[in-house]
Amino acid sequence: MDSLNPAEQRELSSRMEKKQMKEFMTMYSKLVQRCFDDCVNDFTTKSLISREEGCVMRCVDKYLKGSERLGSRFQEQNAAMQAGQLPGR
Amino acid sequence: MSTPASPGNGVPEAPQYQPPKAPPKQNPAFRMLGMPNFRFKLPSRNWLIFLSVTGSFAAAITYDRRQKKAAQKKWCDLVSHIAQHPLPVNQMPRKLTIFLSAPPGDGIRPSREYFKEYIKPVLVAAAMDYDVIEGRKEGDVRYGTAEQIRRLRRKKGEQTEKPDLGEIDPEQLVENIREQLKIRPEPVIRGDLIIGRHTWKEYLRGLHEGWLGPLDEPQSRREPTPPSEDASHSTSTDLPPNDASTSTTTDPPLESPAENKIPPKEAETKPPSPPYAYISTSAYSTSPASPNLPIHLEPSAPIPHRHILGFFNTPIRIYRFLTQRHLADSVGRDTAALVLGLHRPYHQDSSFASSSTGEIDALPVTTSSPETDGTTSPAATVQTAQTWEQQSLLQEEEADWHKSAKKPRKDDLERVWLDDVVIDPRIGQRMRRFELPPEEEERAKRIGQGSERSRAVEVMDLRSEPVITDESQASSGKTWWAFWEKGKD
Repeated sequence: MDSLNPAEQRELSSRMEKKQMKEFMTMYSKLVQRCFDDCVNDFTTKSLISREEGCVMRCVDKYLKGSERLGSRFQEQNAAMQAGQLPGR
Repeated sequence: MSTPASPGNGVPEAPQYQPPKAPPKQNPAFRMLGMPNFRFKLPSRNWLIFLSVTGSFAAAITYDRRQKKAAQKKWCDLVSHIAQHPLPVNQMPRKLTIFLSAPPGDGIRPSREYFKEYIKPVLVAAAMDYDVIEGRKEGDVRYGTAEQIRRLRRKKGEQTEKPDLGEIDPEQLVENIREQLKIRPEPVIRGDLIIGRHTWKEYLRGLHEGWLGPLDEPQSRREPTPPSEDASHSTSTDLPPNDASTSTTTDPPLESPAENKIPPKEAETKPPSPPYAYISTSAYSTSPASPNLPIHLEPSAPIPHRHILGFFNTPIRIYRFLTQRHLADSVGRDTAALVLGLHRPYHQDSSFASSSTGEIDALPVTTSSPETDGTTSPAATVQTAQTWEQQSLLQEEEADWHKSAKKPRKDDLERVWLDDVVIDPRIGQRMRRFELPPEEEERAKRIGQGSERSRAVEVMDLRSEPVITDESQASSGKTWWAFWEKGKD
């Protein structure tokens, strides 16, 4: 990282940003797709009926919390590996 | 002669002669199809014996396994609502500790299978997280338990001479990071689950060693032959290897010191595994407890594990093989009690103690008695044996132990399995035992009878519901575009 000149650094950070954005969008569309598929099954009205709405809320909640939990576990392991120079267990 | 009058052979036999039986009637259509003409009759005597023996055995197994499954289902249903509690993202689920060690005279596998078969289903139904402390041989669990406690004590800042650097404990690392991230364990009691009397004994020993013993391995242990060791290593007595000061007076000077010098020398060449106990049972009462000793230790659930070996025990083993339903039921109850988390202190029964001599009677309650040397004799150990509930728990299992476990061993490691359980009141009073509340017991019974359902909310799966579209509603004549077209006009 240190060997890059400022221009390259900027380039790198912008690419990282793009990549992160892309990842986020993928996750978002996946989430939408999943929750839509699982919850919405009444196509006779253009608004969500209450049952569907509750379902979508819970679905999003579950998905986000699940990925947050997963992320923090990864973070822990990563930090532990760096701190202890452990081989990946 | 073929004359009919002759009485000897021809005529009397004639009425006894029967023509061959006509074959039984058969559907002509089947006959034309070539079906053989079965005649139904009882099989032969030998076949009957064979079939009835195998059949009844198979039926006994099938019945037992079905009942066993039902019993397990009952206890799983009792706790399954716990799995549905939402858990905040910054909390880790409740974590139990399972203590498991190889049964005396056998490998660790039966214990593991026992855990998997009877205990794990209930834990899984309640979505419990757990750690397993395994012991392959005698003393492993004792060491593991004590080491865990010592680690906790070091973490809480007790003085230790052991340099911490160089040794990185991955669990500790992860724990530190969790602390930084503000991730906490779920605010409920944890719990220990101990499988079998042998593990129970080691667990108790480990608890005492961890909380009462020193943080660092005593120096006298590592030196090859200090003078005090000779006395404490007397092989034939049941006394565990002791620390110097207390043991010298208690041991009868029966053995010659020469034969006792050998084991420590061997131990010096190779460190014993598991390491020696840091404190002996006789030194409990003199040893100061750790300042970090909590008011309540983690509650425990001792689970019976009866494991019998040997060819001549086959009848007993068959009987147990065919009555696993009762086992599954009782183990399920104990595990469910652990999962539900209600606990009580262990009973302290003093009626037994009063039967013996009076002056030792006061021992279990005194925390720091000055007359240690006199009271920690083997007699005192036997004396306290009936005092605490912990000491006699699961005791019936010891009759099942293989004789090889009772043989004197070559190494001088402590015989945790054979020694009497010594309970220090400081530890004994702090221990708790999981107990199933009576109303839960009733509920379990009702669930088993099918008159009540599990408290878990049934998950509604919208995916399996039919998709409602225009076509499905077209028959009722109400479609959104009908309104739309109406509006257009």
